[in-house]
Amino acid sequence: MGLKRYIIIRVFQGILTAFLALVVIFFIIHIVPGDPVKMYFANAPFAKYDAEREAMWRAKLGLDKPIYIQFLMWLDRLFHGDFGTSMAIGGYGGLEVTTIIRQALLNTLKLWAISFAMILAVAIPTGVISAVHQYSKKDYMVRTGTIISWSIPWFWYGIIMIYIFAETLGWFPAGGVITLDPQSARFGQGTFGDTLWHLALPAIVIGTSSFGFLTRLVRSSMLDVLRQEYITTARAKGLAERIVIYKHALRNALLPVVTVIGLQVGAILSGHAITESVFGYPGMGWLMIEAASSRDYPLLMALCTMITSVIILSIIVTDILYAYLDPRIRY
Amino acid sequence: MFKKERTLFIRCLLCLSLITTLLVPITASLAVNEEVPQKSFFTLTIVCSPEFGETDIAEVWKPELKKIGIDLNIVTVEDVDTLVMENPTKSYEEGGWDIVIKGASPELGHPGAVIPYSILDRPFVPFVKDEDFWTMVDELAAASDETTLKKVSGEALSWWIDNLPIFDFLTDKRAVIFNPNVKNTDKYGLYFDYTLPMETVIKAGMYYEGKDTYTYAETEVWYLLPFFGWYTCGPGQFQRLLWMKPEDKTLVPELAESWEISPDGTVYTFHLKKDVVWSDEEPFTSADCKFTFDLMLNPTIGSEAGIFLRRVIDSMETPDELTFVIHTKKAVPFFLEWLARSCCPCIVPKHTLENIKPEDMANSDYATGAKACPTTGWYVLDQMVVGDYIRFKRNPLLHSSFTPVKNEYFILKKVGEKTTIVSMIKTGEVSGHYAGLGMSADAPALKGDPKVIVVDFSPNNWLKTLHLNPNHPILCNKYVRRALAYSFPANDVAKKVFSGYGEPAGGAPLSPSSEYWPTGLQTYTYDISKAKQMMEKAGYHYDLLKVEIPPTPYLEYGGFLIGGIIVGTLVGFAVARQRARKTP
Repeated sequence: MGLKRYIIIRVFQGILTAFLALVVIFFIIHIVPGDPVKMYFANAPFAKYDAEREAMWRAKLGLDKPIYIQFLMWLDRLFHGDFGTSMAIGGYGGLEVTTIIRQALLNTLKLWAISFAMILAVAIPTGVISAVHQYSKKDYMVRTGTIISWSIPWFWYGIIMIYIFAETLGWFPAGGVITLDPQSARFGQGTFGDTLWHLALPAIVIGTSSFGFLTRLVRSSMLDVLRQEYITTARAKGLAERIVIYKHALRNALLPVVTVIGLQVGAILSGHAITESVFGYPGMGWLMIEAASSRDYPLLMALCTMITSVIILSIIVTDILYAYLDPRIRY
Repeated sequence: MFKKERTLFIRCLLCLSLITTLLVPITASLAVNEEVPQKSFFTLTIVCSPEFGETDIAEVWKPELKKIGIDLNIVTVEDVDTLVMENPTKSYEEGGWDIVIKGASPELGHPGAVIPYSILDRPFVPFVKDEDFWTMVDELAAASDETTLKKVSGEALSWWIDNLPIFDFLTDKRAVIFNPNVKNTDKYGLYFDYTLPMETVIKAGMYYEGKDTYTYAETEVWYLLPFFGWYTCGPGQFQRLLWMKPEDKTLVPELAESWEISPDGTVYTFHLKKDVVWSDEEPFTSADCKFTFDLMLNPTIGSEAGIFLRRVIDSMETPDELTFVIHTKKAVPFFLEWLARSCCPCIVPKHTLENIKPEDMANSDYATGAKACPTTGWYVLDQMVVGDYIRFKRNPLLHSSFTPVKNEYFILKKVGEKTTIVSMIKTGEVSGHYAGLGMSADAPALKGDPKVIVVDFSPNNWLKTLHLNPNHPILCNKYVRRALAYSFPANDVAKKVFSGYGEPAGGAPLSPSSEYWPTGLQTYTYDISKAKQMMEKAGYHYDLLKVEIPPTPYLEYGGFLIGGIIVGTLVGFAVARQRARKTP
């Protein structure tokens, strides 16, 4: 099968998968206990319950119709790019879902960009060192470190980081996205430096939790590659060890790492609810929790649609890239 | 010892052990705890929301109810209000409710807190079916002078205590936590006791020294229009016609410069301040006042203030741009005091909001913060970042008669985690936080920490109440309700659930310090013996709660018999053996 045909089939499969996923998500969201209209009356500070207002809200959300009709109505709005207004955030029925998601997504992308940079800067060299010096003290230290980083409860870790670095040492702020008071902004209010300063602690917390996994992945990948014959050949040719490791081995060892990072895109979009909650950071994780706990159907469906689409897209792109790189991979 | 005798001895020992093992649990089960009845008369279900420690309150109360023969089933529901509203008369078994815990804000001690007006704001009061109650409401409405009002109010309060349609059990005390750089001369420097007028707050302090910004941590960021309740809108964004000094309760002009009341007490004429402008430079006029009150009177808006205003206001006039007249249906002695209450509407700009339908007001751009609504107050909306913060900027067009705020910006910063709020206060990122309910538990631990200042704020204006379904077949009996009240351990609840931040309210929706409190009125205190007396009066007799020996796995009469046989056999065997030895 040619590459073009493979791509077409793969894309078609992706669309079908996405559609089926959305059907399942839609029905699950609407079937689980919890009524969004009741939650609205429970949570909105002004809303006095009465039957008429309940009926009005049900009609507005389409909840008075059979569930399959609701799904078709939602699908129709989706094709028109209308995700509706949020029931629970930013004004209880006033703010567009896309506006809310855009802000949270931006915050999350900033956070993940910083934390990923940290992870890669630490995990790759650490994994290489551990693999190259297998069974040495360095290797054991790295492996112990990865276990510890995997084991630390994020909530506790975040609070400890705040206590040490914010409260006690005063090096970083305890939370937030930017410095709210212009006079207190060390790097200028809302500047790149200010943003980095606020993102440092949450990024370290997220980075620590992911460091262990990635380090181990780099390590095992490096160990596989270092056993390859071409590495032996490179050494036999008299190449410096540094060139053998970083130019020949690492490049090949990073292939699976890149694949895994690519597949993590969906996880990125889901945010990191616990960390965001501890640091008062309004990202996607926070938004998901708010939407789910408030039964905010429009927001919840918009978030699920976005995340599902991105995950499926990333898988398709990965598969296509693999097929491109390795002609043996075809259906 | 000979082998056989040794064996005999061991067997006797084993049997004695077996018998002892059988006897111990039997003996224990016979020891009756006289305080805890083994049976219960009936089971009640308390429906709690997952917030505000409601389930913890119920857990503290449960063993006390057990002492008087009532089992308490604790159920958690997300949307208690809707459950009650949809099923006002049904018991829990029928899909409704038996008991719920709610908060209420009668503004204890406030002259406007005249029962039942202060409790008419409560959503469940319409379920009180007693005609006597509603007769008293009408009598209060008809009371047109202070003396009659006090008399009728006293009678109404006595009726309330006697019949207990709702049991107010705890007056909430709070703590406020703020950074030491925040300059507050006293507790009034804390904005977010929303009963306090802005002038009081500003004069008491409320500024963060060395900063442009006063940042207040909130776990939720509210609305930005003042219609929907007393806890919406930003700090000093909007203003009322008048306000009340909390220290001596004198009425002070705000947007109204002066006022007159007609001799029959039904016409209130307000003379508005000159040269007041909205922050968009439009003039403030009486048309804005009428527009605001018309909105409050519209049930579609859903304003809590409207509940009272619709009972009282007959009509309104605007004879000129600086005169606003309210005609009431009857003389209401405390009407001015009520207008000075925090839940009373702040005046909003007609020219901005008049084209928005009342039913769309809650979702309008001005309510959500997408656009800044013009204000006459101290702060104007500057920026809103959804889920993060709302920033207000000092209003440069504030009328000269008002004290300006010192910080350029006021920010309501949303922070979900309470530990993070405390950290941010310590680092100065946040100026302060109003430590209500769930936060109170941290306040005692923070006292003595040099990085924060903790101020206990009392008395507060928030009550915790037990709403008892008046249509419940058991709870409709007032003696049962009184028994529940006497069994409620308010002090324990305050100590265990709110770390001591609370005082027993005794059942009254009014403070004893209120001038409407009748002399000598006895309220409810925790007393199990009185609770039992009330249950007896309700027809539940404790001698019917027989103590039964609970079955135990050891209570096998066969065990008794077998043990006895073994012991008897062994003892007999031993005696026979001994005799055999003696016999030559």
